Amino acid sequence: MDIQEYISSGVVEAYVLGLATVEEVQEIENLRKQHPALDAAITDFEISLEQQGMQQAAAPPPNLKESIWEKIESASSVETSKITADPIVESKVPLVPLRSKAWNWVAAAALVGFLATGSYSVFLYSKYQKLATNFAALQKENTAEKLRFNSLYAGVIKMQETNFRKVVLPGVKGHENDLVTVYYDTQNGDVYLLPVRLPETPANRQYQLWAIVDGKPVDAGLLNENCTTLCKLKNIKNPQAFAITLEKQGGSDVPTLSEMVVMGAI
Amino acid sequence: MISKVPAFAENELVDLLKTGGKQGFDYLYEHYSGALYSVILSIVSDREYANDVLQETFVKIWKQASTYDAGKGRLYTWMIQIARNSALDLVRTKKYMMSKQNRELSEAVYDQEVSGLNPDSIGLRSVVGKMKQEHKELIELSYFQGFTQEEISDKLNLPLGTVKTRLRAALIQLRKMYLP
Repeated sequence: MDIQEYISSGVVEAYVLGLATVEEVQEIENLRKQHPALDAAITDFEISLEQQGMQQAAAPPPNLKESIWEKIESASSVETSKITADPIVESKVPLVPLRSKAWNWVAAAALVGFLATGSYSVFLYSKYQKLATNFAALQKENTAEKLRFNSLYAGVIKMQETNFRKVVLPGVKGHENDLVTVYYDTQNGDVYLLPVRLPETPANRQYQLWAIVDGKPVDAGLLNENCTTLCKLKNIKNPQAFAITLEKQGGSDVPTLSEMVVMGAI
Repeated sequence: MISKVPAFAENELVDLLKTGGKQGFDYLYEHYSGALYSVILSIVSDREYANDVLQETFVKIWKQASTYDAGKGRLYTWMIQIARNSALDLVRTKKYMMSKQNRELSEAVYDQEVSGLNPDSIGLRSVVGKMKQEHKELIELSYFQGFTQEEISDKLNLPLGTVKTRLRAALIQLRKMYLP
C-alpha cells in the first residue's frame, strides 16, 4: 500500500471528523500503528481542527456552567435518596393483571433503570479502583512518615539524657554551609550523627566519619544513604574531636584531608 | 477567554478528567466549552436546545472519561465527537423535528442555500461555506446532519460510489483549506 496516497485520499479527515465507516475506522487504526507518517497526518489534522475550533469558539451563556456541574454531580451521586424519601403509601390504583400493556411500560422502565444502574455501577467501580490505588499509595507514604517521625522523636528524647554530649561540626573552609551534629554517649562511647546540612554525595562517593583519638584519626563509620535523620555509627572510646571526609564508596583506611567537609572538637 | 486556572498538559488534563474533580471540570469548561458550543450550534441552531446539548455533552464526557483512549486521538477530537453526536441525537428526536427552527433549516438544506440562510456561520461551517456546491452538500448532509453514505445516496438519487468519491473529494478540499 502506498501510504502517502492513502493519507491524501481524504480518509484521515473522514476519520477525525467522525465520518468514516466502521471498516474505515478499523483500517486506519491498524495502519497508524505501522505508519508513523499516517499517525502524524492524523494528529496534524486534529491540531489544525482544534486551533480553528478554539479560535471560533462561541461562549455559552454564563449561568450554564454551574447548572452543568450540578447535573454532573447529581448524575454521579447515588440516586437512592428518591427511593427512601417517599414513604410507601398504599396505592389507590387497582392492581392490573400482568398481561396489561401498562406492565410492558413498567417492565421497560425497570429495564432502563436496571441498565442505567448497571452502567453507573461500572462508572463507580472504575472510580473506586482509582481511589483504592491512591489510598494504598497514601497509606504506604503515611506509614513511612510515621516510622521516620517515631525514630527521630525517640532519638531526640534519648539525646537529652545527661550522659550525652552534643558536638557541633561546622563546615570547614569551602564548605561553610555544611553542618553536622554528633551526639556522643560519654558512658558507653556510642556515636549518633545528625546530618543537619550535608549535600548529596556525588556518584560512587561516600561520607566517612572520623574520630580523633590521642591525636590520630580513627574510622568512626560510613554514612549510608539511609542516614537522613539520626543514625548510629561506630562506638568510640575517648574521642577529642570528630570530622567527616568525602571518600570513595566503601570508605578509606586513612582520611583524605583535602576532602574534609566538617569538623568539631568535644 | 481569560482563565485563571493553571494550564495543564494534555496528559494531565486527561488525569484530571479521569479523577472527575471540580478542578478538572473548571479547567475543561473554561477551556473547551466555547469550542464545543460552537460545534453544537452548527448543528442545532436553536440556543435553548444547544444549551441542553452542551449539558448533555459534559455529562457524557464525565461519564465516559475512563473510555477515552489517547492512542486514538486528542482529547479535543474526542470531546468534539461527543458534542457532535449529542447534537445529532437531539436533531433526530421528534420534539426537535417538530420545532420551527429545524423545519426552516431542513428547507434550507433542500433549497441548498444553507450558508445564505444561516448568518451564524460558525466553526466548520464557515470553512465549508467557501466550498463548491457539490462538496458543500456532501459535508452538510454527512457532518452537520449525520446521514450515512447510503442514506445520502438515497436522498440525492446518486450511486453509492459517486457519494463516496464526492465525499472524499470534499474532505480533501477541506483539508487544503485548513492547511494551506
